[in-house]
Amino acid sequence: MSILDALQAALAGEHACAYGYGLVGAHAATRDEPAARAAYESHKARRDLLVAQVRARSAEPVAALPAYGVPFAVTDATTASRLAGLLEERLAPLYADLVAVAANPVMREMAARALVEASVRSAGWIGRTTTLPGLDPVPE
Amino acid sequence: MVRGLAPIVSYGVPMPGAGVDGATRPSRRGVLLGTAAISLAACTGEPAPPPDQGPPAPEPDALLRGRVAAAERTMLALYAATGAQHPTLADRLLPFAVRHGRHLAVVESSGPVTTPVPSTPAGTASPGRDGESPTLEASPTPEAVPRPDVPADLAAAVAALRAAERAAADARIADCLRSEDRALAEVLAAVAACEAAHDVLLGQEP
Repeated sequence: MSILDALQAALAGEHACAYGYGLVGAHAATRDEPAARAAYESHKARRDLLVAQVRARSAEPVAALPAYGVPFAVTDATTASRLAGLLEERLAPLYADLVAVAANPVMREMAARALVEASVRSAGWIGRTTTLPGLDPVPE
Repeated sequence: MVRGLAPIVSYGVPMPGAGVDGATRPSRRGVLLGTAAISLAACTGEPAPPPDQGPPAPEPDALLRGRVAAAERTMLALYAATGAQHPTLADRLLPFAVRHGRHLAVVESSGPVTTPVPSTPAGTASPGRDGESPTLEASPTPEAVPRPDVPADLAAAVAALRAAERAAADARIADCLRSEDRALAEVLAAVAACEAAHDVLLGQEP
């Protein structure tokens, strides 16, 4: 996988997270709203960073889709947490890929910290982790 | 616009799509462990180190693996001591310790390991005789890890575990940035991610 491919894949994942957290925020429990908002802002910041990285390689950043399929109906705080956890678990492998192909230490660190954040957030939302987040298969 | 980008979009996760990516991703760890197995085979079978040169200088990644392995053994010792001191915690702590044990196994099987134990000559990795395997099992035994102090107060004991996990996660990120081998860097980032998640999970209601 090339660096550009990994950047674009992570960017596509961040677009999906930004979309997903819109849904999460609409249904999260009151006590979880600050966390949902913070996660949304963090994903948007990483998205912008990835856009800049893609542009720096003279490529066109992948665009967000108008909408994304959600594998279950998000109707309440429980399903909102489940979706947030799933978003983070599915983002993690994209950053693991970026760690492996990163062109320089700064990019590797950004990717590694993004992977750690995704893992921390998914643990916070759904109360579980795997042995090697980002490398282990994503649970259904 | 979006239609025109469709081929690029396919790089990404069709999030959180209807189960399609299950098919695209399951081999990741298999590939990784396969790579680890290959490098392990390369270390344990042959080639023998150049003759008459004495032990080769340890490569930086081998030292890194040795240091991470020692850190994982320290975590395992801390979990064991905490479970012994607070038996009511033991069941809850078991999955955390199991994951640390897997970290240890994955790191040690990802390539050559040189164990940083200057005080015990037996603890350094050495090439095998007559082209036999280098000593990959030369790491300190769990007995070599000093028994950690565990607070008598249960909440304080959990807090100590959480602090240890946070420190471990930070150290693994630093190790990830030092690694020359990209596959090892990826493993260390994932280990850091798990340890940081452990901190969160230990802070949640049981």
